[in-house]
Amino acid sequence: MFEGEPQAPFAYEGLDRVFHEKARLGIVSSLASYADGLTFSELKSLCALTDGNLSRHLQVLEEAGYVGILKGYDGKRPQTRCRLTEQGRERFSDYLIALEEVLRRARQAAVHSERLPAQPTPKPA
Amino acid sequence: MNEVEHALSQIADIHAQLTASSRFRGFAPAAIGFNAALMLGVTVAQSAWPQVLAKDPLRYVAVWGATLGAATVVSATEAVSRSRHLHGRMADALLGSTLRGLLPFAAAGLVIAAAVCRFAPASAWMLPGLWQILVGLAGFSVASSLPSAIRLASGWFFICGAITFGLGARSGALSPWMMGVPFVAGLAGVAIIFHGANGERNVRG
Repeated sequence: MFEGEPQAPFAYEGLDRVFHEKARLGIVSSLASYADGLTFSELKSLCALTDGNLSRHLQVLEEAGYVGILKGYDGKRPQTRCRLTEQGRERFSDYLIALEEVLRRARQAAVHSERLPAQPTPKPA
Repeated sequence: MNEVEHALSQIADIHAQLTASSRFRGFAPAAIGFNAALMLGVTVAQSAWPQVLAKDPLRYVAVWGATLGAATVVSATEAVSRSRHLHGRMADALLGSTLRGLLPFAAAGLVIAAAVCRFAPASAWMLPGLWQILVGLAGFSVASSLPSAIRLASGWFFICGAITFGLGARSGALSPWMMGVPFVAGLAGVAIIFHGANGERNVRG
């Protein structure tokens, strides 16, 4: 282990599996911009998901405690509103920081490999 | 821009939106209530002992400037420790975003007061109204990250500022109540709004 380096620099603890799925990442990214959340139908159109798929992913996020689901009425029509919880916001922030770190390391590695001298191609015998 | 740079920029955008849409819960109702009580005390003291605390415009401005400074220190100290406790790892981002909204108005209030006291002390009657207008504008600028009712309190400060400015222009005099009434009532309202928002959050879980 190098001195001054974190214990496991490639563990990426912040990359929570709950967020690390395409549809759920889309749902959470959409909700991240709205303090008061979004309705089920708004989320469905923003993330291009079917009713069944969206319900399933929202259930996973709700069970993790990252999304709160509020059932109410808009006039006489039933309405389901989803919003990120405080815990969800904090964990998603950690997730974004970890993802950023992965990309920065990838960029550093790419720059490093470009600087290396090109390997000579072996001559045919 | 290559793909990695593009992805990093998208992540930064999402992070900024997440911070901007998060409610800042650092302001403590008790600290704001304490500030309202402090200002009530200063108003009463200045009315009772005008020869000591409001002998001339500069003394009046110095007393209220010190009071506003003390109130800012109390609120800010409490906000830093409370947000560390409530917002965890998002605390710095939320504190930074709230500060970026409030600081320009605080700086403007300070600079205007210093300029008036230095170059035009006879125009000190303008300061209570201007300070209240700046507090109102500061409230509007950070309203999106605070309970929505904070707009009412900001409107109160703004309207009081306009009225106080008009009263000051008409009489050219400085009364302790020109600062006392708007700030005591306004801060008490803000404390009630934050208290209500905390209660609502506890109910919603």
